[in-house]
Amino acid sequence: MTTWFNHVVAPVLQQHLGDSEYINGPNFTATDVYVGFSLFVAETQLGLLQTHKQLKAYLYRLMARPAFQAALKGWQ
Amino acid sequence: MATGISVKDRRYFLTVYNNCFVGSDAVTWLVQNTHAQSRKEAVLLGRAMVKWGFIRHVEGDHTLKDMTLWYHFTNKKLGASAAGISPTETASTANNGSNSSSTASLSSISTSNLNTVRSRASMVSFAPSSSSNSASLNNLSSSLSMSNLASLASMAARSASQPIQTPARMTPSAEVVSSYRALAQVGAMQQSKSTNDLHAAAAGAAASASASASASASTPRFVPPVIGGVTATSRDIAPFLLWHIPGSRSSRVLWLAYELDVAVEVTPMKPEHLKRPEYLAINPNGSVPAARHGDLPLWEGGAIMEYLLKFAALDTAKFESKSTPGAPPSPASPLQPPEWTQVNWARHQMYSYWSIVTLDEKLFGFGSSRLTNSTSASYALV
Repeated sequence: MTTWFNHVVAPVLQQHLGDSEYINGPNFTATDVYVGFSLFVAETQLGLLQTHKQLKAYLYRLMARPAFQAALKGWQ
Repeated sequence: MATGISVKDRRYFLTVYNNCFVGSDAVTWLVQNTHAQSRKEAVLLGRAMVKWGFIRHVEGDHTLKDMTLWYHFTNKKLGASAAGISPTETASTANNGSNSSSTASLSSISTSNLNTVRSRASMVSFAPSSSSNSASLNNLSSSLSMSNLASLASMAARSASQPIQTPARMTPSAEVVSSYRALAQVGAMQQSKSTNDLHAAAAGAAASASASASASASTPRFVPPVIGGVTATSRDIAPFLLWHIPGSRSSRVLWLAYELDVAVEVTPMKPEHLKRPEYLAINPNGSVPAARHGDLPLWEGGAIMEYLLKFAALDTAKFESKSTPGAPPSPASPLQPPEWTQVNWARHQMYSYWSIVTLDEKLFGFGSSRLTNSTSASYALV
């Protein structure tokens, strides 16, 4: 699974994310919710983001949002 | 309502907002004048008024909230439908800061608003196709939508006809009382905070499902009326119910609901509750998230998220101020993600997204058995 994530999932996400703040550009969109939760699980349950600094920074940007913290209270 | 609450110019740093009122004042007024039994109910009514364009946040950033946020009464929708206001009168509302003249023109606005609401109410009353089964929840909720619309209409009527000098306490009309009695019954059925209450909710959902099945056999499907681009249904006023296991995939839906500022009522669940018959009546897949908005049952996170986005998109106040007419939606618009998802994301879904999702399912030990037919049906619904 780690190999699959590193070689297939992460490059696609990186490519879409680029240097922008969110996956869809500079503004937060619902796609970030969709993708962000999967990344959250990948990071907190499986530690898959260790080698992906950019994705990790992106995830932490999402986790800083008040709505995220309200929805996942106690799970961070 | 325009006469009952304090409408005046307010200043926020250097910007002055003319003739606005405070959100929590409006909520207080709705409760004090028995249009709503609780502040929560009043907020739902207020949100419907925002959605239909009768009131509007000064910057268009918020729906009605029980907070110190500022709102205008608006005559925006009337230009097309009623055309009852002369430009000079509107101009005096905009320029004159004094309370008496502004409330006078505001009440004339709500007179024409009333016609709009009435026409909506009458259209809706023809629309629901519920069966002759008078005891069913389905009937209850459709009659609820009618009587709630009627109560909005009567509310506007009383606001308009009331003399400006005497903002006396009003007595509720029979239809308002009956609508809230119905609301209380539905509320009792739907507010299932504990697992024991889940039985009641499941029974209600099952009754509704069987009722709608029998209804669809005999009568045509319910088609909600669309007026001025806004679909009027009982869902305008209904809370959004979500069955949620904390930390699971349903968190995604909850997160989006919070981002979109949708009034959501959460029923916390545990994984061992999923396969119980009372929950299977709510979601035959036996998985979270499951949701119910008014008379519409929803399951599958992706479908619920799409529904939430569409529902929030109807919340016109959220978008109109931010984008110029005719221009494509701004990048900040929540309308963009589904498009983007369909065009760009779908290509990569099989390789990137689902690999995480299947893992996610194994992790939490559910979601393996799917009723594909009902699942695709739930997507077709939204």
